[in-house]
Amino acid sequence: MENKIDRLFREKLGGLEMPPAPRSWEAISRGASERKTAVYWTRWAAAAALLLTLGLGYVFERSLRRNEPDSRLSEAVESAPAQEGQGGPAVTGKLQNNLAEQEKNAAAVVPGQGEVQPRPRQATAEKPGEVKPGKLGDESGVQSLLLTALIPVEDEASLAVTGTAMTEEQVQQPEADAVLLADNGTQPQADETAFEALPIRIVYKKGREPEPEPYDKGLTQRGMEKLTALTDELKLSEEAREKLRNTKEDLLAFNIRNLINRKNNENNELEE
Amino acid sequence: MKLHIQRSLNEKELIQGCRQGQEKARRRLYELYAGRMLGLCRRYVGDRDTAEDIMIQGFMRVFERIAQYSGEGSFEGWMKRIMINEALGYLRKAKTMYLEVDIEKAEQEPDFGFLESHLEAAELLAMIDRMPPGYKTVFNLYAIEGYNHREIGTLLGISENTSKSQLSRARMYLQQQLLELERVEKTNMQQNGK
Repeated sequence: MENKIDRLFREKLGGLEMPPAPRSWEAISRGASERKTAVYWTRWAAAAALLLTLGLGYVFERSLRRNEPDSRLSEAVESAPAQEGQGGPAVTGKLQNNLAEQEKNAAAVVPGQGEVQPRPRQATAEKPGEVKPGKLGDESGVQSLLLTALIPVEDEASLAVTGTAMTEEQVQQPEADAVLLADNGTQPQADETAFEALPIRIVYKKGREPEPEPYDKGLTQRGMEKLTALTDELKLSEEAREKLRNTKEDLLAFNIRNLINRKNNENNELEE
Repeated sequence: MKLHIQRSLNEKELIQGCRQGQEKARRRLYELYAGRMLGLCRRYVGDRDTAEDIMIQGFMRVFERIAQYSGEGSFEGWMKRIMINEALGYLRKAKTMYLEVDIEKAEQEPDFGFLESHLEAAELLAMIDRMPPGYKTVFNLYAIEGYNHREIGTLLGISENTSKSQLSRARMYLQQQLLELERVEKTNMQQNGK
């Protein structure tokens, strides 16, 4: 037989309902839609990322061929945020995730998002000279992929030579690295440093460095702002709730009702 | 007529709508269940505002994981489990779970018939609030949710025996409280000339 105390509490409290605050739904729909959109749109974001990678590759190849100054690179870098507009907040989230995982193998981040495996990344992993993704600095996984594939050399001189030798097809091919080396006339080195991936600060010519930082800051800052805004909103609502809705008020309402009922019952009995 | 049709929207369709991320379906699901879920969370933490936060987190998880609901077992039960996990997660952080308080066993049995008809849910809730956290959680899970001691052990990371002893202490505590409340109520009634 069920314990009587258990039963009393189960019967009276089992179906307990309390009206939620109006703001609760807002918090839920905001939070859930962000995450949900992230999941739902990841595939599209991955496809968009791939397209962007190819697009950037094209821009890169052209700029390298012509030995263009940083402006081209900066343009390419700045156009990456435009991707956000298409994919919605989720793409930001995806890129933010990439930023957060910069310590890991940068290229692995994109495969982690879906089935997309951009080819340049796979190619460099198989090369005799190891690419060291760990050397990559703060950048999005999308871009680091690109750079890994395209900038496998260390010193500026060979870079200048290499740049001119690259054709559009070579950029897309997995054998890009091998082609670069062949043009240089140097032996494929077992030495790892030959394929050391440079950070996003590429040295085209002496003393000139592109500035990717505004882009990075933009993403991280945006993420932080969102987070802070959300927290502030919740804080606000907490204060408002504290003032307005109090458990004691609920209980008081219950008890008052109870007292009133009892008074009525007693009055009825007295009259009889 | 339109409202009536909406209300009889089949649970399956509602779930499907939520799976697809339809705002309307989610809103509807929330309207149907938020009150009960808030009540549930409220039993586990003594504070209304914290309970609300837990409920919010819980619903977000529900929408996140709704694709994983296999259709086996009741959907409300599935949601309740998610809410309970959120509540337990919060309590784990609070870390004041297993303080054992010495309780003397009361010899007398409460007058359950009387209590049943004279006690409001609010008073019982207040009683639960005053219980030490460890007892409260086990009592909630066993007596109200209906988990067995093995399941409770898994949920809380305690042994079955610990669960049993927490439950029996919870009951002793509540028994004392109920007797006291009964005494007060009956005295009041006498004084008011019943």
